[in-house]
Amino acid sequence: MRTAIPFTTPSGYSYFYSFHYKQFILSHPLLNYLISVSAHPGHWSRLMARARNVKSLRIRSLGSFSQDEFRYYLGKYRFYKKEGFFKPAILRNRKGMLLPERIKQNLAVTRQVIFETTEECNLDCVYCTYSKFYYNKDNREKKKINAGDARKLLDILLIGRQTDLSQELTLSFYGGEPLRNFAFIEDIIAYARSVKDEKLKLKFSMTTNGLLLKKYMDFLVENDFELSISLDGDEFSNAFRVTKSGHKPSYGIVSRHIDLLKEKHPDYFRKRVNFLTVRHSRNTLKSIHDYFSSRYDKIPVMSGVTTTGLLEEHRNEFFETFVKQSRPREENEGYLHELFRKHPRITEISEIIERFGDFVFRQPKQILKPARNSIDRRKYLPTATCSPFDLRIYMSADGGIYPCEHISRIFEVGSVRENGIDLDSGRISRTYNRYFQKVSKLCSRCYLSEDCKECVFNTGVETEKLSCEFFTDRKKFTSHLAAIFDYFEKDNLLYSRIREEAYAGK
Amino acid sequence: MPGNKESYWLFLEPFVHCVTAGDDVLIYNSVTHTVTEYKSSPGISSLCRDLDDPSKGFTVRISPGDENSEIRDFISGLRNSHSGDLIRAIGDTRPAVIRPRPVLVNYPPPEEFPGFNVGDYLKNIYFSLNASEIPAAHGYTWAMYQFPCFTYNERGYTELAPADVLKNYLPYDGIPGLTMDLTGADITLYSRLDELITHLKKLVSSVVFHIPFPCHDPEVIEQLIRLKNSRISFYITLPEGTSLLPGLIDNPWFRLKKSRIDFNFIIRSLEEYNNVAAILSETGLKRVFFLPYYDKENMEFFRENIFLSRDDIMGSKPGQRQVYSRQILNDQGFGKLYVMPSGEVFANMNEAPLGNIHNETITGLVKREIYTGKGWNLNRMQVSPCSGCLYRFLCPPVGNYERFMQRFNFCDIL
Repeated sequence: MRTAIPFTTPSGYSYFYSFHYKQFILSHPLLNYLISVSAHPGHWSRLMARARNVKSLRIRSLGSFSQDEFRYYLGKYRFYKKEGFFKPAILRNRKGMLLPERIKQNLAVTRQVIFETTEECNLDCVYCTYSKFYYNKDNREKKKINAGDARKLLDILLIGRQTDLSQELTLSFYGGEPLRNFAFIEDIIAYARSVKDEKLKLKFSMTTNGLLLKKYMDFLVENDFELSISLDGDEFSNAFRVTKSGHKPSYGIVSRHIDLLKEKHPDYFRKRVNFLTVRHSRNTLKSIHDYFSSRYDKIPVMSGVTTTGLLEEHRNEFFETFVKQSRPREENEGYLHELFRKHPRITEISEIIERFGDFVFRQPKQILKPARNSIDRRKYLPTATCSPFDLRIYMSADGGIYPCEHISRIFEVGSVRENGIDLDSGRISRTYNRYFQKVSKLCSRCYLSEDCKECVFNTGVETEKLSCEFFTDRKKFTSHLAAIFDYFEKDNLLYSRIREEAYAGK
Repeated sequence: MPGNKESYWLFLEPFVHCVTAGDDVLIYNSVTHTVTEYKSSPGISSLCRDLDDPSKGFTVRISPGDENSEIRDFISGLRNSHSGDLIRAIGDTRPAVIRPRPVLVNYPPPEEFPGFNVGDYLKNIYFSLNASEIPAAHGYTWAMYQFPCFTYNERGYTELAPADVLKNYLPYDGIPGLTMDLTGADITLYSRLDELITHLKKLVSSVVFHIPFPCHDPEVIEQLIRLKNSRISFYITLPEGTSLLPGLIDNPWFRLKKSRIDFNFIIRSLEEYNNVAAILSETGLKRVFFLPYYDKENMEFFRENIFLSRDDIMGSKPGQRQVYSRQILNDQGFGKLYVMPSGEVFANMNEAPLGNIHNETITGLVKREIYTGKGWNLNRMQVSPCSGCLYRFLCPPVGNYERFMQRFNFCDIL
């Protein structure tokens, strides 16, 4: 049962979190002590008996308190209790089922279709999820996507589309290196333009490693592509990104292409180009920030190296090579205010504050509902897994259909191949519901389950042992809160800045 | 209050709201629903501003004994009402205090916002199926600006085609919390009601029928209330409505469906109120509401009976969420669209039209209201004299009466 959580920061200030009110409350050490002791009726009786008979009450590790002080905080404890601050959290019913109808509805409004144009890549990044370190190491056949099959998928999305509800569709190109199959990109864009409904607005995006950027940049600019270029920073930082042929550093070529794009199309570069950076042992937040801000006036989207799906025999080598820092670690803790929204610490703090603070609202309708005392009879799905195809649909080069480009190939949910389209919403819903049922046991013990950020496909749901990177028990949750409030104490303006800036545009 | 010479940090609890206006201060505890006011107290006002100041970390350092008696009493008052407290200072570190300030993310959403979903905004779409001079003939010319019934058209009788209702509602049917509201001059007069009902049977959403009473064809009502997910809201005018009421509630279907029927009695004077009250004691009706009607001549009735007092405002006991929403939105009017028989669409009937369904989509009109409209967002901070009132976040949102009268202090406070 999730009741109030008392916690103390390293400086010594006490707080408690009320699940019922969703509020963080600055507390008195004595009040926190009373909250903790109240869980043990025997201790509570002894404490009350002792308090009645002494002028000053000494509590080990907290010090002495006068009778007046004790009475005041006992009164305050009773006030909080009477008003329900210590009531347990009302958890949502997580036994919801994904219905096939929902999947069909999603297909009619999906916002993005992502094509893996080719499995082939002209880089051989050492930490790639198809490298020797991972289960799904690259045994692929360097397939190129079949344009006819891709058209069939696009037909389904365009013909059944509800343009009143969703007026934009983004065609995205992914790989491998998508520009290795440029003919397909040209073809499918021309096809989409020829069949689209006049109300529909088509947009394009691509993730590229930049090696072929020079050759195709004019096309990308003409079609106003939102372009994400993968680059880990300066030459030293980028050293894991090597060419397929000869394992040579790619930095020199890629940075020249980027510089050329910036010079030839400065407006486009400013508005439509961003960078994707993998954080690893050869870069830090500081080095990343310094490089991209000074050279391109941008802050990249950062992610860590993938630590799920690692082969046991390579695990140590992987951590030694990519996770252990070769630059001073303190560089990561700096730059909090410079990077701000892109600093992982700020992301973590703002998410916790949003989930548990009840003052950040994502929808206007949410703020109009009463906070408590309203019984929510709806059934929710466990985890934060996207409803399949609501946001996007991914077609791999070999014709597999997936809910997203980030999940393992073992989770193919459909296909578009020479024998036609297989997209059975009944079967997909059954698969999802089986996964949800399995993972919900883990979620029921997790303190972050109410506002989970994890996808069911990242929980080892098809393996024997379920695991979730974000699983948080009471102890871990208490430590999280103490760490966050330690930040707020050290920087009194941080909370206000998070409130003002961290949520906008997300 | 602690008595030794150590220093302390004073803070307000996160469920306590502090409003200042000049040297006046209002402290509202949203848990106990208690208000404490301090008038003409520059010292307390300055202290409260500091306690709500992000650059000061929402805390003020206090050394007991150094403060004057007024501040001492103020602090004691805060502590005794559990609205604030003193925490012993540890070195120079300030404790962290989370003050209650709402953040409505992406509102209005950025242009081209990929996550835009019209369902996040819409709550009700009111379709006026017909409009005519009938309301004027009965003395309710201005009713549609005050509540959703009696649609008036001085140029004569007009109707909205069923296809216009369905084409503009069906894409949104099923959005959680969205209701279809059917209203008009008198929907029992609507010539294509049977045709429309056939389609309404397939809706997922709830449908509310807003019907004046007496109405042209009471026989239709049974058909409407038997639709699944339907409700009826009667707008009863005096004296005919009350005299015909027994005949209505004697119907066998009424007993079965009465939990889904609201009775709004339209009153223009105290005398009418008293007449209705006398009748109600005999009928035993449950879901009864009084709707005052402003006819441009009965301001005195409003001033004496409808204007809010301080106790009325406090009697509503606004919770934390309400105090939040009233700082950002108009929580009474938010999410409502009104479609007229001409196709014109309003976010509030007292504001300019947003556009017309004959050449724009509901999604487009919702976006226009979000970016440029006043229908959904008008709150007390934006109107005079409420913006300077201590009660501005506790008071009910700006209502249709106020918009219609163009008078925003509907109370006896200012």
